[in-house]
Amino acid sequence: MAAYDVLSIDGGLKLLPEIVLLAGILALFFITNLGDAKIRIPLTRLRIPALLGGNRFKWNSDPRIPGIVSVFTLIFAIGMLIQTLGDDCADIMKGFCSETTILTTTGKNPVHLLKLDSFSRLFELMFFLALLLVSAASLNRLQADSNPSNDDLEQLLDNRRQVDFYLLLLISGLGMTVVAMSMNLFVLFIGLELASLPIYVLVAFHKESKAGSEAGVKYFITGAISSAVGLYGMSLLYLWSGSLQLTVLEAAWASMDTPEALPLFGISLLLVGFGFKISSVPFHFVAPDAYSGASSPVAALLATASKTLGFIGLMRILMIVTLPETGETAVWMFAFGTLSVVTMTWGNLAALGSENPKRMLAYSSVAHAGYMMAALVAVAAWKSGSYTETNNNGLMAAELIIGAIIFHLFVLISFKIGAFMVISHLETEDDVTDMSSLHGLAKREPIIATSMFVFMLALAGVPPLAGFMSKFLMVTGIVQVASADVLVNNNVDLIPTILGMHWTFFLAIAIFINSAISLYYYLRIGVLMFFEESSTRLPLPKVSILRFVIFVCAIGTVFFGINSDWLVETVTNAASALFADS
Amino acid sequence: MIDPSWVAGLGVIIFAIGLWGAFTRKNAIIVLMCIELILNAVNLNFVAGAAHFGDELGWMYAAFAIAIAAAEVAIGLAIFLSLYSKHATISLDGLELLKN
Repeated sequence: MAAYDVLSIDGGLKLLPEIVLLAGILALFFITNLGDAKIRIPLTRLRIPALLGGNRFKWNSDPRIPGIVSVFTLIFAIGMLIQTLGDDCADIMKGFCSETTILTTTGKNPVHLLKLDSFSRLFELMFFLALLLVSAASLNRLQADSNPSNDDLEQLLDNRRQVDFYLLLLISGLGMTVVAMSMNLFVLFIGLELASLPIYVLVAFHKESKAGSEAGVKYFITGAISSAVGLYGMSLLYLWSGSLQLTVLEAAWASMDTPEALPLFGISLLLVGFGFKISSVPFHFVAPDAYSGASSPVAALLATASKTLGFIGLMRILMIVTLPETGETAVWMFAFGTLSVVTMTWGNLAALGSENPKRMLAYSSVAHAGYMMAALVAVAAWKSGSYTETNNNGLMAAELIIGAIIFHLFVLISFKIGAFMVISHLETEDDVTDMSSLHGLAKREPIIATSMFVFMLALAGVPPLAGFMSKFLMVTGIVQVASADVLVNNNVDLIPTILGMHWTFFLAIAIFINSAISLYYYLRIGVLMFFEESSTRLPLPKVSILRFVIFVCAIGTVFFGINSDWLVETVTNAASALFADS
Repeated sequence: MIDPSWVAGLGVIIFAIGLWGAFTRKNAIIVLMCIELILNAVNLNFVAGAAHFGDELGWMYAAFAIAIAAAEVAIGLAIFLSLYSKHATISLDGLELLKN
């Protein structure tokens, strides 16, 4: 394991993807502001071109320029990311992994800041992919969204506004990578703020509509309160242990004999901050408002990248800092388990009664957060079980479960973004406020309707699509952990076996029941698309890039469902990197 | 020198006031002020911790927290401004457009 100074050349070379992102942000700013402005040299009549400001040239006043710069920056960043993986995985086709590097601060007593390993690199890849899909799909977004009769068309076509959009997107991406790599709780928090402050603006980006600004205010107020409370919890942890290094906190937590009030209070306040990001139950009410007020690509970002941020935080806090010694029960286990069941049930029941497709997708993402929280609880149950001392399968189960969560977050990028992109495509025609926009879509646009149906089936977890694979892995992991006690005793009778299981087994049952409930509203979309009559038979407006993104998402959904070996290998690498000692 | 525990205690009081205000007030600007109170309680905790443990990183955390708070205010006020230009109010009570 190599450690470099973050400001040295070697350290900088490890951060090439982030440097590319930074260069993209600068390029976005400079390229779109080049113009024919001149500066007069004082005391002379000589004027030299300053190139910045003034009237823009013809080539860079094209409104598509910012989006194209953003797309190429992200493609280049992904290329750099694969370039910097190191010799550990010369063959990326066998699974994505990375050698472990630690970047430290400059000075006499270097503090570990960032850790680059299979875990953080995989999450960086996920963030870049999500941002790439979102920015590619937004290329035509602002033009397509406005009616030609609208007076604001001129303003929407203006690329200054487009620059804002993609600038915020890329800055947010920079923050996300910091969250993925951080080894210090405060660095993690700075990354979280760097990622979420631009997202607050993106949610409120449609300031022409009443709904846009309302969604922005609701999302901002809730987000700001929960992140401030989370930061207060972090400061309590600092008062308790004197450091915010994850390794120091882990050691301090492990050396604590009986639970103390200060760290417990600090951790629970910190979980408030992350709970908002994953939209778990006390904060679920803001998700549908934010999703339906924001533009569809931004809502897709909220449902995937933003949720992933929260889960990185939860994994770092719950899995690294507060995971107890073998045989002890984690203090948060029961509360978190209850919360996860409430979250998934509430999300599904609310989605059942939802008539707005975007709100339905928002509630479904609340439900998915619940599934993943249940899986986190199972890891704690694995630690509290007594069987881990006898065999070594326990570690495998924990890695399997964490890997399943990462798998789910990865494949969500394909089908969640895909579903939002279909709605985005419908919005090129008219605002999508109720299910009637989907009526008869199959007759108007067979390919898009089929893709939407694939996304819905994947969200419901129907084999052989990607969503099935992730849910299957999670449930297998939970059952393996819950039944390990029983299997050791060789019980074969059904009823005693079930009663003898650890209570986390009921989390697996809750996931099953909830998946069954959710099938109704996912399939309903399919019925509406294929069997309802639409008022028009005309196809949707031709927006080729949006169609391309939908198509890519659909292929990804099917591909990772059928051929999941590569992804399973990849997420297992990432999960073992999370548990590896640092 | 003031004992750090007094500083942290003041932080608890300010945090409680801020949290209570953030949940009960209806004016968006006052809610923003309450969020700032919470962030200032955070700063007091970091400063108290830095003084208690003699850890210079604590001072740095406080400085960064101030910067984050400033960025948050800037973004918050901009969002409220766009709310005001459309709804002609910044009261959080009137936000009922987005309903199921």
